[in-house]
Amino acid sequence: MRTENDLRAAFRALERNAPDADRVLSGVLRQGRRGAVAPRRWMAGLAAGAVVAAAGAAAAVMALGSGAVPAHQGTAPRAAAAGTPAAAPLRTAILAAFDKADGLISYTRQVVVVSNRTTRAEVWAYPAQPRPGQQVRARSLMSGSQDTSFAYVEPAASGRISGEVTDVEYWNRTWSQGTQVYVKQGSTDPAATLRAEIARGGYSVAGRTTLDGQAVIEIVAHDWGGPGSTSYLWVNAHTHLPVKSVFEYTPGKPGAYGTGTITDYYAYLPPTGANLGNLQAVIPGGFTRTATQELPPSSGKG
Amino acid sequence: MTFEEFTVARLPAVLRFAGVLAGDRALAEDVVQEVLIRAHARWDQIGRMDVPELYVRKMVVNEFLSWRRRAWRLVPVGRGTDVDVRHAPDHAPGHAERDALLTELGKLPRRQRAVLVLRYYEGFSETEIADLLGCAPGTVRGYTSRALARLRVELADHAPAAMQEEYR
Repeated sequence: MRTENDLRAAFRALERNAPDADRVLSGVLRQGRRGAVAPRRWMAGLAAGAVVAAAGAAAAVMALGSGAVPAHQGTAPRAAAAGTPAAAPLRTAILAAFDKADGLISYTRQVVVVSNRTTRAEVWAYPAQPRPGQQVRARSLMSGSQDTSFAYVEPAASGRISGEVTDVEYWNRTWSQGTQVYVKQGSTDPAATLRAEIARGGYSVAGRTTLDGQAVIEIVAHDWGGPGSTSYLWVNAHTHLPVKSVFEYTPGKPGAYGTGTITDYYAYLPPTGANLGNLQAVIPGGFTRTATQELPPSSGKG
Repeated sequence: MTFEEFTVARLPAVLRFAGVLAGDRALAEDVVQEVLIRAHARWDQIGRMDVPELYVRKMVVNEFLSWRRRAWRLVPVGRGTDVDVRHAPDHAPGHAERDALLTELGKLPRRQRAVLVLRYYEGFSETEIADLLGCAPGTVRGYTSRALARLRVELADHAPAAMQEEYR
């Protein structure tokens, strides 16, 4: 017979399953930004990519921002300058750019700062705006910790999807590969979030400016990221594709979650062989194969 | 206590609790994340409680118990295939029994598992568990006895000592 002490020892052993605080808090912030639910961390990464997954007809690769510092100079929108496009025609143009997204690879570089901690991720998705029945490939690379790619057929509606998953865990130098079935919810649809936000309105056009050498139009919104957030979006002035967004969460506002910032840099890549190669997780030499994905232990930080 | 103060001071303990309760890091992460999103939205009320952590833990338990009812959750039902068994972990004999116990814990119904975690990991009394789960103390005793029987755990004479009292 086992004793109570055996039971307690088993529970203490299970403490190793404590999630990482940084990852949880980062996820909370991302959820607030999306206003949706999609908890699994690598899938959340794909959903983050979804924000970007609207690409336009232009096949040119857009320049990425070189740093995480927002381009805006403050939280208050600037007064509309001369030549600032009206909100309604701009919305039409952005939505049209989304509708032309299907032939490109969307790429996002994301920097999440919450409670003075920073996590970085890169997300690829192809096609950027998949149609039901299309083969979808996506990859989420969380800097220094995890590299996951997923290939599946886009379902006609929310529901179960089966796909080939490759997962590389840097914390213990392991990788896994196999078919997994997930339940996909509509709110994780790649185009849904940003399209819905643009379509819903609730933003103002702050003006024209330049960002990393690009002519862009700045948009400011105060509810896209959830309560207490201020959101900035820069779209290319010519293609109307998103270039960068910043979601700021300010403490002290009702419902605001602490202090945090999500910065996304967007790019749209032609599906060349080299770019398509980036959709597959890279398994470094010397890593050991395991049966299933092994999540990292808690950092112990609060 | 502000939400930020809570995350700094008490979140690690909540994460450990969730890890033990769920027995799976991915599930624990999902549960806590979901709870924090909802807790944050109501923090004006929760933050004014004497011990906000207790309420958050109650939310964690309830979220864990109701998790399967959510049809939209992303639940991996497949397993990796074609695994090279030569890399399978070689458990030391001393760990074999604990691994067996952990496996059996994972097969318990969630309410039974939650009751055991609350009783023998957290050190809650039957009354406290009953209050937390919204059931009668006798129901808690029933869950406990059935779970212990399934695990073939023999009770000691004394009541379980509280193991994590600092937040109470």
